[in-house]
Order: sequence, then structure tokens, then C-alpha cells
Amino acid sequence: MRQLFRRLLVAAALTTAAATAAVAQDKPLRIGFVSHQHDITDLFGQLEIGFREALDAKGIKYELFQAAPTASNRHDEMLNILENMANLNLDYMVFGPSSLEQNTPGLVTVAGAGTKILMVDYEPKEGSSFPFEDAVLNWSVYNHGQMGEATGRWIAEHLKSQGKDSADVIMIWGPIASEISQDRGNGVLKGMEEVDGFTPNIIYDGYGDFQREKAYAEVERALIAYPSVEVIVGMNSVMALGSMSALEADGKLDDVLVTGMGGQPDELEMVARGKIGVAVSRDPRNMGENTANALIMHLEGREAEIPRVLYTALRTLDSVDSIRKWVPKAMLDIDAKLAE
Amino acid sequence: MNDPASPARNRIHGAGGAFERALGLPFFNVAVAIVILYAVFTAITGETFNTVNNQITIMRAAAVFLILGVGQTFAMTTGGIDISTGSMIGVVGAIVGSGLELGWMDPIYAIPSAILVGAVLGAFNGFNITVLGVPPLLATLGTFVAYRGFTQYYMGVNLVTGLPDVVVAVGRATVLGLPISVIVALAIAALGWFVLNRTLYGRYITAIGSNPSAAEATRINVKAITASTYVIQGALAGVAALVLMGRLDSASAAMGEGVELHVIAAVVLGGTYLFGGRSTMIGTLLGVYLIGMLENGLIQTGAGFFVQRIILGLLIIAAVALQLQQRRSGPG
Repeated sequence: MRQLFRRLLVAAALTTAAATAAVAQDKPLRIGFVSHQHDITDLFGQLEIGFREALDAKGIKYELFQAAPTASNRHDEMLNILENMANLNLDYMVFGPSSLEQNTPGLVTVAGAGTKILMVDYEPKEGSSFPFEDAVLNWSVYNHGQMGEATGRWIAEHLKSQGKDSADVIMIWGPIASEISQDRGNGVLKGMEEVDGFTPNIIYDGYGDFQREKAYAEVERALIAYPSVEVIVGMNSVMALGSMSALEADGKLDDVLVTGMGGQPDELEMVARGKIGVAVSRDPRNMGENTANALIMHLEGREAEIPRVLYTALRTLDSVDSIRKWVPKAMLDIDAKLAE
Repeated sequence: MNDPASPARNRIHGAGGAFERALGLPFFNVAVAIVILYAVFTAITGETFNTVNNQITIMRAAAVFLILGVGQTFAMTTGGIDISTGSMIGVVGAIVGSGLELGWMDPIYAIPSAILVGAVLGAFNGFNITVLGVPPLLATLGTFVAYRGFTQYYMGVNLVTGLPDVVVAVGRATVLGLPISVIVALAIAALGWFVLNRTLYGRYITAIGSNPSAAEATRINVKAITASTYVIQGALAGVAALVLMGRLDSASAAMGEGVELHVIAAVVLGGTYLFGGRSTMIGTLLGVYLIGMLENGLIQTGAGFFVQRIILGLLIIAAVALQLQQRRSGPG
């Protein structure tokens, strides 16, 4: 034990010396990047790429401090992360929540530390106000409800074109009490009901917490309990992929229509291959660029010119052609993917 | 050992003896780890890590885990374990939170209600383990699932918000700059230490974990005392739920998800034996602080969150491996 202790002390001394030597003397911008999940292929990973590219193009030096909780519904972890971020003397923080209400206490702390906040992926409701609002430079968003409505309309019109005026539908929701999931899902229901002559029949509501594995497990169970299912709606890309995999494993992918939302590259590849029917998509790199531009305008003293809410366009992608047309090749070269 | 002719030699031997005693403390390893990591993080981040404000932030985040860790220490000392603590938090949040929101619970009853609901949930665990004879891991695995299912059924997609000031104060108010949640957690830890180390009840708990058969032979009511540790754990889960509700000013069906592994890791890292018979409340406090410091420090150094998980996992393995080695080498 004594030897072990001596070795530990030597290791610590060496580590401290190396770390001290490595500390940079420059003072780049300190930027936090906090999201409710982080996957290089999904929204926040691609958004970060767009954000960094825009800052790099302007020659801005920065240090990025990244964090995400272990799951989108771990609001206690997110609060701890935000409180830690508040101690980092950040100049800016990019923040993508799954629930604004439950993250408000943390955002108040960050704002109180003097950090400017750039909100992404969460649309402020019209007329709403927040205690941390003065710290927010910009909201780079899209309307989750509209995303859902576009999906619902597509489902109804697609089935009607096949001669069906109703369908048994399973909804795979995100985390319980997630406003994003609620907006999307309610949008889907509204979109389906708005199409004349079509009546959706919701036979089961499952919860996948925006996770692929959970969605897979939910659909696997649901297929046994509800064999009449005709449509499965995943509230995000990875849940659509999980649902698709469960159907494939059960040999039912040809009988059940799967739809997703978001436009993550793997999801779009499955749309191109005909395994997922549709994915209403937003361009996350464009959102990242918008966020970076707001930051740059603030740096240049042009805060008054920053648009409060900047929407990124939504595209309904249901074919190779639509993907080719609307998805930047840097994000997904669909022809190369299909050739693999 | 003492040589009357050589006071200097006696001082050296005395100093060496103190050092050897320190090495034998169950929380020695975690204390060393804290000192080393503190130095490393301070060296790398300097102005942001080594500040009073940042240390308070670490302790505030750790308060919930310390409260749960005290209860887990009691359970683990008997040779058991409780993995339903996060789910118990969910149930308390659902019942107390919705009662406050809907108005059928007066705010002055929030604290005692949370403790009572938690204690009942813990008692159910204790009953399953001591009366039905279900192994603790399986019994609490069952309630881990069942309690969470109840919470999701009860709350659905609803979010309880706008909690009364008394609940928010538990999670957010400060006294002389120190968060009330930290004061409460430290007080609970101190009480836990006193009970485990200075009372007959505490000695009985340790005896049960060391050798249940021998404990029974000496007329210790093994079942009653074992069950009581789960009641304590449940009551403390109720307190932890209040702190969490206060911090978030909300309650949802997902509240408390995933906390159990964090708590168990902290208790094991602190030096309490996973297999019972030895406990250290000071170690639990240090273990909770170590994990909080790691999470805080790694973010500040710019290390990815995945790195944090890898390091924490490896630390748990190292802690248990050291415990096993110490058990093989004998006491101390």
C-alpha cells in the first residue's frame, strides 16, 4: 500500500507539471455548448459543425466547453451542468433543451453569471417571457408543431392515395413532459385530422425518450399487442430508426409505414432506401451558422440588429430526389451512400 | 516500540504509526484521490475551479446524492443494497408535488409528507427482503420498476410547477452563503455517522453485515434492524425528492431517474464494503464529493462528457478491487 501511495504521488506530480506547462496564455472566447443529447450524426452534432465552421471562417479564436446529460429527461443532471457552466466565466453559451420550463432555474444561474445565451431547437411561445430573457441573444429554431403537422398531413395523404381513409397508428413519443415531443406529436395528430376524408385511429402511445433502443423495445412490445398497426410515428430520427429496426426484425417492414422527424443522415438514408416513409427535416448546419452569426454580430457591437427568433426552413423529404435537392452534400452525399 | 533513550526516534516511529493508521482508514484512497484531482484541476483551470463559488456549486449538486448516500450506507452495511432510490424519489415527487399543485396538501405538510411517503416505500422494500426473503438486489430491482411505473401512470405527461416557497427554499435558499440543501445534507450525514458509530443500533447494523448468523445468535433482531435500514433509506429518499423539487421548482414522471447508480458508486468509492460489515459515513461524504468534483472539473477542462463516464466507471472498478484486496489481507 505504501508503494502504491508513493507511485500515486509521483504520478500526480508529473501530471500537474505537464498540465501546468500546457496551459495556454492566450485568451480566446469561452463558449459553452450544452444540449439535451449529443450525437455527431444528429441535430446537435451537425449544429455544432455548422457553428464552428462559421466561427472559423471569421477567424474567431474560441474554447468550446461541451456537456450533455446522460439522457434527455435527466433535468437534474442538466441543472448541475448549467450550474457548472455558470462558474466557467463563459462569454457565450449555446443551449438546446428538451424542456425549457424545467431548465429555467439553470438558465437563470447562467444568465446571472453574465453569459450571453444562444438558444437552439426550442421555439419560444408567442407572448411568453422568461426570467433569463435579457441574456438571450437569439433563438435559432424551427416550429416543432409545424414539423409534426407536415408529417401528419403526409401520412394521411399518402394513405389516401392508396385508397385508405383510416389507419391504426402507434405514436412513439419522446420523454414524458418534453414540450418538444408534445408539440411534434400533437402536430402529427392535427395534421392527420386536417386532411379531408381521413381518420386516424391511435391504438397505442409508447415512450422512447428520444432513444433508439427504447423505441425499439417499445415497438417490439407493441407489435405483439397491436398486430393491426399500419403506421408508426417516431417523434425524432433515432426513434424512427429504432422502430424501423424492430419492424425489420419482426419481418413487418413492408406492412407498416414508419415515419420520422428531424432528418438525421441515417434516417434520410433509410428514407432513400424506402424503409422509412418520410422525415420532415431542418438543416442543423444552417441553424449552427445562424447561431454563430448572432454571436458574431454581438461581438461586432450590432446586438440591436440580431433577429430575436430565426427560423430554419422545414422540408418534407420522402424520396431520393428530395434529399438530393435539399440536404447539403457536406452533411449527406446520398448517392454515395446508396452506392455503398 | 518506544525508546526512552531516543525521543527523536520515538517521534519518527510515532509519526510513522500515525501514517500507517491513516493508510488503514477505509476512506484513505478516496481522500488521496480528491487531493490529487483537486490539484490537477486547479492547475489546469486555476481561476475557475479553485473558487468558493465553484466549490459551493459542487456541493449543491452533490447534496441530493449525499442524502441518498447516507441511506445507502445503512443498507449496504447490513450486506444489502437498494437500487430503487431514484424511483422512490419519483413517487414522492408525484404524490407530494401534485398534492401541492392541486391544493389538497397544505405546504406545511410537504416536508413530513415527503418523509412519510418515502418511509412507507422503504418499508415495502424492507418487508420484501426480511419477511418474503427476496434478495435485496432483486427486491429493490422490482420496486425500481414498479415505483417508476406508478409515477409514470400517476403523472402521465403532466409537469408539476409553481411549487410553494417552502419547497423551493429547501432546494435553493441559502444561509450565510451556504445552500440549505447542503446544510441539510451535511446534517443528515453527521447524524448518520453518529448513529452508525456511536449507538448500539449502529453496532448491530455492522454486526449483521459482518456475520448475520452470529448476530442472530447474540439475540440481535436481524430482520427488524435490516428492515429498518430500508425505512431509513426511503425516508431519506423523501428528503432528497424535496431538495430536487426545490432545485427544479417542478416535479415530473422522470424525476430521480438514474440517481441510484451515482449514489452506489459514491458509497463504494468512499470505502463502505459492497458486501456489508464495514461502513464509513465520512467515506460516503468524500465519495459523493469526488464524483461531483470529477463532473465539474472535467467540464471545466473541456473534456467530453463521455470521458467522465469512462473515468467514473474505472474508478468504481478500482475501488471495489481495492476493497476485495483489503478483505483478503485482513482487518485494517
